[in-house]
Amino acid sequence: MMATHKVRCASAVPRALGAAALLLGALATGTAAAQTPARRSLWMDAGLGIGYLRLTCANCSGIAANGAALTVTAGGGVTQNVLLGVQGQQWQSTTTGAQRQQVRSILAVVQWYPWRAMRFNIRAGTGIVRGTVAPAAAGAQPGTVRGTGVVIAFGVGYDILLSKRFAVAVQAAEQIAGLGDLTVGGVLANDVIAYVTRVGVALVWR
Amino acid sequence: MVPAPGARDTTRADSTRAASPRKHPFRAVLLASGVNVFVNRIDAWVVNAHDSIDGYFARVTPKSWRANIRQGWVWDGDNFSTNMFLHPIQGAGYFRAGRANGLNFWESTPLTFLGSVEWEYFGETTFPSLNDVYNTAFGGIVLGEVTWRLAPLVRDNRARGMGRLLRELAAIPLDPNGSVRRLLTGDAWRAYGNPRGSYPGAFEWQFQAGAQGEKASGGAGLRQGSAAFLAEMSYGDAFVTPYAQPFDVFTARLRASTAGAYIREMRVAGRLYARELTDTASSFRHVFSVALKLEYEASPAYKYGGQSLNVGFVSGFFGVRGFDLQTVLYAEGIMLGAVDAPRAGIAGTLRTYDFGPGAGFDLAVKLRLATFPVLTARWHGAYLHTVSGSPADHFIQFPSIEVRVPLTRSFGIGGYAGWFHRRSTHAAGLPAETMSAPEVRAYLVLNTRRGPLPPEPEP
Repeated sequence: MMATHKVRCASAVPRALGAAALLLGALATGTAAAQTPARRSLWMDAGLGIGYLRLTCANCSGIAANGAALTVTAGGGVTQNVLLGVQGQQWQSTTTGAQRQQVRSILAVVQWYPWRAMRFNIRAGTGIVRGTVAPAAAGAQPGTVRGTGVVIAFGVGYDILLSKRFAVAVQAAEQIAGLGDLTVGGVLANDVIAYVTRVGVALVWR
Repeated sequence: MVPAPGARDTTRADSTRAASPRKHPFRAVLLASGVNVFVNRIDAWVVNAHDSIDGYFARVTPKSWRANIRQGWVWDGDNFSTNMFLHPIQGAGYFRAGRANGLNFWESTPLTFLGSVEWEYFGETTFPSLNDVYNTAFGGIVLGEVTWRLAPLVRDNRARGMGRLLRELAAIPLDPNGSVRRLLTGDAWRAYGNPRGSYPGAFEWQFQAGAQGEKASGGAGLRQGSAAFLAEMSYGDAFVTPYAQPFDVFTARLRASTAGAYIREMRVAGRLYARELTDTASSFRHVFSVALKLEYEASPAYKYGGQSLNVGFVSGFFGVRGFDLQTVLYAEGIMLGAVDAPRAGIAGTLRTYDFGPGAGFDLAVKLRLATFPVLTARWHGAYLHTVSGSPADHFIQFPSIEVRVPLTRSFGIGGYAGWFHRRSTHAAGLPAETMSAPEVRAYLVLNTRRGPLPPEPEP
């Protein structure tokens, strides 16, 4: 269904992404003295960041919430430029009590370094998501509801090498999660989609 | 013929056109964007594409781009063939943009996502659709790699005259980017050596032509007959082609009929990874295998499709009284599937089916007499949990059996019987609903199989 409601992007997200892009650009043009990183072995990263949740559905008004996101990824290199792995992510809203929202996901991801000598990378993946969210369906009492569905993720990152095996990565990513039809406050919210936008820093080992 | 135990081909499947191709990631991204511009302008200027729901969806403007970015993602209301058949074909163009610029399989996969997201935001006036990304990206990986590998087998750089022309024309749908490049550089008519390593070690074609009977849409017990044509291909062999790269072994099956939607079935599965678990000289061999599968079934009575990751075992039992037996046992993780049902879809749109992730299994047995496949049995089961459409869980089973009798070494007659069964349980206390659709076919069959080639002489 083509959702017809209007949702405004909160300005905080574009600002955060813009800042991340500037940071990545600055790093990309910065020192290139580091050695080529090892990318054929096992790979793990764990990161923390700020996350922003936006909910849409066919009969909802837009709703947004700030929170924190924890991401852990493990996998291995299949070529010098490509890593395959499994990523788990939990986003949790900063609100407490009955309105606390949470989105957990587990994905298969591919991370691609388009230029072998550079540390800029693109990550994409898909998997399963479980969310406790509060869609604002028209006529519904405020409340949270749990849904399970599919998630697709896109992101960019830049590795700042600390040694041959360790790096700190600056990451920006978006997860788009289809949670399906959810009944909240006695009203059916159709085609709920949750967007989790994350900007963070991760420690990388490989 | 099924390879003798322990047989190994000396030619390696490798679709890269040169020993160490130069990688051009930036050019690959540009070419993927070029695919979008080309398709959009064809839709807008040549085809004047439109439908009753979305209007002239290719007439994009900065205003439509802004609206799409502000709105975000939705599940679309397009019909089954657009979403499950055409989108993977478009995705193949993004994937080949990577392969044509020296990127390997894995490096080309993100391009299908990037190309699809770009298309959703900027290629159509309709809001970006989540299901399109799944079908374009994963279906594009499967079809892109398959067509990329087939194109050099169709072309023959040493041929001349009408034969050369026909081969170049036949390769256009498989690799349009490459065909344009060959035309511009003169490679399309210049005589030179074929790329080494294109042959996968074994290759099998099967063509069927005959009549089919099946359940018609809507009416209980109604039957309809039609003519049916099927082409099936096995590129490489799990027991001949040693694992070197993703999709060095794949199967593809395409069926068309004169009733209803012309393309009735497309099933393509390529292995991503394989590991031999037994001695290659043994008569009983087992290969652990991971495969990526694209499935599309569009009968008048049912529709089913999806993208799945399969993990399991391929086993071979060779040389028992002239028979060879191959079994396949896969567990399926369905990334996004689609199935139609009476309450499924979205009212007021062209969509009559639900989307959802799920899990399933795929069991198959194939028995050969010499080179001829005399018996094929398959049992496919799937569970889908709806995330868009009616809140429901769908359970699908699809057992089938095919028997063929060889009349000559490669020609024979055959019959097929299949049975599609779906059970849907709905939320909100609605009663469960079931549907069954039997299907039979009788046909003439032509089967050719080519085994390992002798080593090519060094140029």
